[in-house]
Amino acid sequence: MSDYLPEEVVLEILHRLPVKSLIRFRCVSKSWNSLITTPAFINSHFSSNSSNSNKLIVRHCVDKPYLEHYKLIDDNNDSSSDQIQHIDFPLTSSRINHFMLIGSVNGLFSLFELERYVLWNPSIRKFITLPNPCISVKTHGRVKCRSAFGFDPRTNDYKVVRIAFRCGTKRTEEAKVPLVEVYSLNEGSWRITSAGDSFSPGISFDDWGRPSASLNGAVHFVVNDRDDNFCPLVLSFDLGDEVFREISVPNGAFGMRDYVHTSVIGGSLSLLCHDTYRHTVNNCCSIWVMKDYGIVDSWTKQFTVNLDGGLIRVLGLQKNGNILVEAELPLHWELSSYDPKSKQVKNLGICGRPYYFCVDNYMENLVLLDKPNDAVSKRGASRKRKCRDKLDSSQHFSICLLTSDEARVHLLQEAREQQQEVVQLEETVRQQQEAMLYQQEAIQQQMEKMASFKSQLEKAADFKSRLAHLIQRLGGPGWRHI
Amino acid sequence: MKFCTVKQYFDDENNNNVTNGIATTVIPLPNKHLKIKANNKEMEQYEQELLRNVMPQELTKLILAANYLNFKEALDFFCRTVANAIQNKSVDYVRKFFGLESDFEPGEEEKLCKEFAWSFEGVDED
Repeated sequence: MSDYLPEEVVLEILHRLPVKSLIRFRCVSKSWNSLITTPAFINSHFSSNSSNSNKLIVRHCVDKPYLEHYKLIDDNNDSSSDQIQHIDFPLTSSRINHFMLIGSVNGLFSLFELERYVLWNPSIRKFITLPNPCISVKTHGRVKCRSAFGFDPRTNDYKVVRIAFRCGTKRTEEAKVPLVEVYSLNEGSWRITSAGDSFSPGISFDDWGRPSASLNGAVHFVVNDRDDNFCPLVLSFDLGDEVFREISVPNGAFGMRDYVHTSVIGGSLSLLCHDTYRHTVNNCCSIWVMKDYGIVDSWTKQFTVNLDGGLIRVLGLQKNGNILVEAELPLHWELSSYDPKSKQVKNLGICGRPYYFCVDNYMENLVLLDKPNDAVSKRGASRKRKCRDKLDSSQHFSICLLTSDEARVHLLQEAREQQQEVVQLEETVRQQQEAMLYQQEAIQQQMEKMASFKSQLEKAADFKSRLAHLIQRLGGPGWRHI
Repeated sequence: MKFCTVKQYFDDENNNNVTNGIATTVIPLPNKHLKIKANNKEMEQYEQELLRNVMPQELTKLILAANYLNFKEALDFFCRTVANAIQNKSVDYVRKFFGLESDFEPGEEEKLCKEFAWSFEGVDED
C-alpha cells in the first residue's frame, strides 16, 4: 500500500503521539526526522499536549555518590511503588555536592553548579550545557548571584536570568545595584541587560537557594525592601521588557525569618510560607494564591498545613487534594502525601536529602531536541558561542589550557581530589574546634570551682578570726591568745 | 455546514480521492455525531464498532477522505486512532503502515537509534 499522505496529515498524526514514540519515529525516514525536529513542530506539539499532564515529576537527591534522580508519580492517586517511573539524571556534579535547582517550567529544568548552567529535559532525557556567562570572577571580580529560569510565551523562548551583586569590602551604593544578564535558548547566548536600572537599591532577596516561579512571561522572587521598613514583597522580572516590578503581599503573610518561596499552583502565582525555619512549636505552612495575577486584593490564603509530627516543608499539591510534603523519619527524609481531611500522612517511598526535593507538573516537551548534543560538542566548541561582550585575554588563556581532553580530565580529577582533601581538613578543623571548646568549658568550670572554694576559704578564715576576737573579749585570765 | 467539498465532489465527474466504500463510512458520521453529541461514551462505543470492521491500513484512506472533505471531527478522530494504533510500535511497523521506505545513508539511521536507545524499550513486537 503506497498511498501518499500529505505532510499536513502526517503532522496531524504526529501531534497526537507521545514524546517517546516521536523520538523513536525519527528513524522512520529523513522527512519524518526533519518534521519532528523543526522548532515549529516542537512548539505546537507542546501547546496541543500541555493540558494532558496527569503526572507529577519529583526531583530527589541522594548523598555519596552525589546523584539526583527523577521519578514520575500519579497526580490523582498515590502510585504504588511499581507504578513509579524512574529517570536518571546523567550528570554528576564536579564538586562534592548536588547541582542547585534554579527553576523548572514546561517540563524543563535548569540546574547550576559553580559557574556552569545546565538545561535538562527529562521527557526526552537530554541536557545541554550553556555557554559561560558574561559576568564572572575574571571579568567582574567576586559576585554573588541570584539566578532564575523562566519561559516567555510571547517569543516561545526559555531564559535563564542571572542577577549579580558585586562583593566588596565596602557596601557602597554601587554594590547594591546588580548587573543582570539573560540567556536566551532561541539565541543560544548570554547578554548583559540594563535591568539594573529598575532594581530598587533597598531590595534584598529572602529566598536564596530556592527556585523562582515562572508565570506569564516573568520570574518571581521573595524579597524585602530595606528602605521601606523591611517590607516583604514579591519581585518580578519580566522576560520580555526586562524590567523589575514589585507585587505587594498580604499583610502579615510572612516575616523576614520565615522560609518563604514563590511557586505556581493551579496556574496561579503562589507563596509557600513556612512559619519557621527550625523545628519549634506551632510549625505550619500557609499557602497563599494570587487568584488574579497582579491584583493585590486577590491574594487568598488557600491552605494552612500543620507541620507537626516531623513534616519539614510543603512541596506541592496533588489534583486529588492531597498535599505533598517532605517528612523527617527516624533514619532518613522522605516524600510523603498528606490528606488534609483524614490528617493521615502516607510515605511514598522516595527518599532524599532534605530541602533538595522538588515537585512539579510533568509535561512532555520536545524542547532541546533540535539543539546540538552536549556529549558530542566539546567544552571548547561551546565556548565559541561568545557572549556579546568581548572576552578578555585571561579568559582566552584558560581556553587554550583546556582544549586538550586529557588535560581537562586530569585537571578535573585533581580538583576533585583537592576538594575531598579540603572537606577532610574542614572536618578535622571542626573537630578540633569542638575539642577546644569542650576544654575551654572544662577550664571554665574548674575556675568557677576554685573561685567558690576560695571564697569559702575566705569565709572560713574570716569566721575563724572573728571567733578568736570573740573568745578574747569573752575570756579573761585563763584563756590563751589564739 | 460540514461538507463544503461534498457538493464539489458530486459535481466533480473525475474523482479519484474518495471511493464509494469510504464515502459510505465517512458521510453518515455527522448525523451520528449530532444524535449522540452529548453522550461521549456512546460516541466512543460507536467509534470502536466502526473501527473493528476497518483494517488499520484502511484508516489512511479514511484520513485522506476526511481531509479532502474538510471534515475536521472525522479527521481528528481518525488521526487519534492511527496515533493510538502506532504509538507503541516499532519503526518497521510504522514504515509498512504508511508505505514508507528508509532513505537514510548507511550508518546514519544507526547513529540516530543509538542516540535515543531508551525510546526503543518496551516496544510491541511486530
